[in-house]
Amino acid sequence: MRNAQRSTRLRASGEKPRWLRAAAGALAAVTGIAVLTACGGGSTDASSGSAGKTELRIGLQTAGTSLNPAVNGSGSSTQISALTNAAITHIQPDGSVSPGLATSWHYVGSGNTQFQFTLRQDAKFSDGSPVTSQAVKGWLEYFAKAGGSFAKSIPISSIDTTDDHTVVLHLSSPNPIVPYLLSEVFNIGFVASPAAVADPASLATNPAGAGPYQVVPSESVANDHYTFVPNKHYYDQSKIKYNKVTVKIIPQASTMLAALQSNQLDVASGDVSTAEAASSAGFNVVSGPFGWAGILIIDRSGTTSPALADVRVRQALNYAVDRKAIASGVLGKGAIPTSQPITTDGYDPSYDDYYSYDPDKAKALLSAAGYGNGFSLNVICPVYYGAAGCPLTEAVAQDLSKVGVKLTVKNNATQSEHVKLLVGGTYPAAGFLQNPNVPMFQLYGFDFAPKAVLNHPGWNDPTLDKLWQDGSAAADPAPYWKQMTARVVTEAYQLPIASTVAHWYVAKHVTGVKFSPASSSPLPTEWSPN
Amino acid sequence: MVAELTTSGDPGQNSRGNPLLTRVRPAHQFMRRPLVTLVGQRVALAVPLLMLVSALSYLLVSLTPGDAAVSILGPTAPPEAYDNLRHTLGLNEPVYKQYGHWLGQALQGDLGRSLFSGQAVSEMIVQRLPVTLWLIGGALLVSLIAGVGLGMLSVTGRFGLGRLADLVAVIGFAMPAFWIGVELVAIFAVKLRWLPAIGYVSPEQSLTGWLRSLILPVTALSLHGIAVLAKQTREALLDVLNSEFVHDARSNGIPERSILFRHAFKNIAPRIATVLGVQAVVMLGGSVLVENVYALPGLGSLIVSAAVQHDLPLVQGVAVCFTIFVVVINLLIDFICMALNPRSATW
Repeated sequence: MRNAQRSTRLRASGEKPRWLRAAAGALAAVTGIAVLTACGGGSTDASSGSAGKTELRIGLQTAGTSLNPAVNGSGSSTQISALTNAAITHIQPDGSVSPGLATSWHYVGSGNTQFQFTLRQDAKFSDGSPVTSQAVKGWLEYFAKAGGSFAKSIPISSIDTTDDHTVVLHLSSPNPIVPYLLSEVFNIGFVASPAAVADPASLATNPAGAGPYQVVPSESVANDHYTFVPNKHYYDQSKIKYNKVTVKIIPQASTMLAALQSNQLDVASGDVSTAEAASSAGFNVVSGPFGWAGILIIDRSGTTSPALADVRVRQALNYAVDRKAIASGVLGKGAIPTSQPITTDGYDPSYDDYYSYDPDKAKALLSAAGYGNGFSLNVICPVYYGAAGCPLTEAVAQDLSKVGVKLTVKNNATQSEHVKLLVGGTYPAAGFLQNPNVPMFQLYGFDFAPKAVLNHPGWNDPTLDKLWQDGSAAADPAPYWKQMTARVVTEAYQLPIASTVAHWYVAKHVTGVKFSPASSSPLPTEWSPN
Repeated sequence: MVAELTTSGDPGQNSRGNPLLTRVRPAHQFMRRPLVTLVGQRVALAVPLLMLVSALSYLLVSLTPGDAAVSILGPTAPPEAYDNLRHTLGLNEPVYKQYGHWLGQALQGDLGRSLFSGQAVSEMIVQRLPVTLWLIGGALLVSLIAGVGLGMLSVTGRFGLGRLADLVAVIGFAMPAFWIGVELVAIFAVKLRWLPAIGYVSPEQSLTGWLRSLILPVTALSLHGIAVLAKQTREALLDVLNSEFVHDARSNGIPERSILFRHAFKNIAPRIATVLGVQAVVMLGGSVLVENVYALPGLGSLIVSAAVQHDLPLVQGVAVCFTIFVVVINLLIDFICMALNPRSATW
């Protein structure tokens, strides 16, 4: 009766029945959802599920300080800078140095204190101005004053420009690795245009280099995502493989993997926690050595921890750790146990197993040094290094406790906290992850030189000093770097555990993602559609 | 800050019967002070609040170990480089002087520049603010519609929903937004590939892309709000529907739908508005996690990275922005409550 009345009322008013309205609403909702989930929004859409080969989408864990190469460090920022700023020399994926903006170079005279290079004549910055010797001089002078972490990487005392395309660097001390330092690895070679250098604030958002791409500031948000389009002034247009490159910053490894799996990225930096899942999901996992992890022995003079001044104690520490177990248990697949600090030019495979695991020998050495009952050592470790940080330090502490050496470990949550304590002079040792692209010439400057930043007690070894000085001025320094490795290992100046591994996840339609210890950041300029 | 509310049938002063069954008088008739005074009062309160928040955030970030110079230069710069950079950035000065310098600039409308990127803080905030506002706005809208709808359905018992509001409340309270976010990505982005796992598309770029980029983060952020609002709506409605004036209305033959929507709902609306205001502030905190899970370029992810890097001007800028957001939300809720229940306008 009630329903009949209602039907009559609805018919009279022209109103549709409730079930019909409900069905129409449900249909509209389903259609809306279907439309939203089906359409990708075009190739510029970050959510695109079908980006063509003309767009390259890269995922990086960090972006560096800014787009200005003069204030950045190495790592992810190198990959971004390489897109926009061609370097003076070019680092190949195998670590060899080849022409970049400079077509040729050589040291003038002997002693490695004058370096001359000739620039290519057809290079232009993204603002259309030519790459000249004056522009390069202006950039190098600005770079030294900008205060970035690489500001003093080349000790330039003066710069001459003998013509529009020839530059001569006068060095305040011998330096045999200038060609390597002028490559993409150390930022100083990423020349920017004179107009941008005159307005350094603009470099933060528009680096105005002579690279194959240029940034689109309106489609970029600092530290989140960046968009690049081809630079029409680039000197070799055939090397521009993509119409568009986007870089998305994703700090979380699991989120990075999800973005890859949902087809939002083509290439991404990975880590040990997701490498296996990425491989299972059908991505090419490109892995390679990425520096070394271990304990940095800072107080070799025994200022705050007298035991560390004795070579027998340092050797005992090296014998007491089970590198193989720590490498596989903590660092995961691919980590290679080693007793030497890895450098690009001093690496010697024969020293990898120099200190094989031998707790009895460690105890004997400690007894001989007068520390038969062990001793205590304060150590800091970096939480933000993941497994290579505090977990590795804790594993070392566990092994050392078996021979009586008690490590008191302080966990540092942030890089700024860790570095402050690292260079502050209060801790005699520290958990450490050394970048892979460090030549022995530089490792000495960081760790062993009398005024090195990580040698605050002012310790020195005359033998090591002499090897470095001779190598610095030699026409062929390679043998000196190997001898320095031997010295560092036999005197147990450090406590390396293993060389670590970096992982890159690559979709099947991208090729050319390669890297080596000397070129640890695979450059997107080398990648192309498959 | 939010005006006191009534949720049950108040007999009021209407001589013809229950006031809730009659047309309410315009809000301005109940105002004891003009609107301008209210806004002025809130702004006056906001100034010391902003100073307190900025001073506290400055102090807290300063107290955490490390500083921006070592974050920028890393572990391998020459020792003098750290000192030079600290001097350049003004980090050598005592914290109170640094704060005073920042405050002096901020009072002139200049929030300074990021110590890392060198970009103007205000510019960085303007770039990222829309993302956070769309995220929170979307989550509030979804919470309001779904939460209130669910609460009402559970009271009326239609479609067999019964105690569903309670169930949703338990689920919403028990599961943190970031976990829900991760699970939604695993199902809808990775497995089904219906929606993007990360990133944000502005509506200017693509309207469908914008909607698609917000669906999962908004869902993750709104589940808690849905639970709270469903629970609150259900309880408030049960209170009202059991009150005397509703029994009177039923006795007078007023249809159930009219009682529910025209009278009972109007009665509980201020309470819902208040809960929604609280949820807006809760969501501001939740957005920090959700933005990180979905790699959204909003203020939440910005303040996390700024705090880790000791980028004090940037932390300050975002903290001030968050405080203004809270003040504005409270003011809005005051207005809404006043409009819905003019007798509450007794500030």
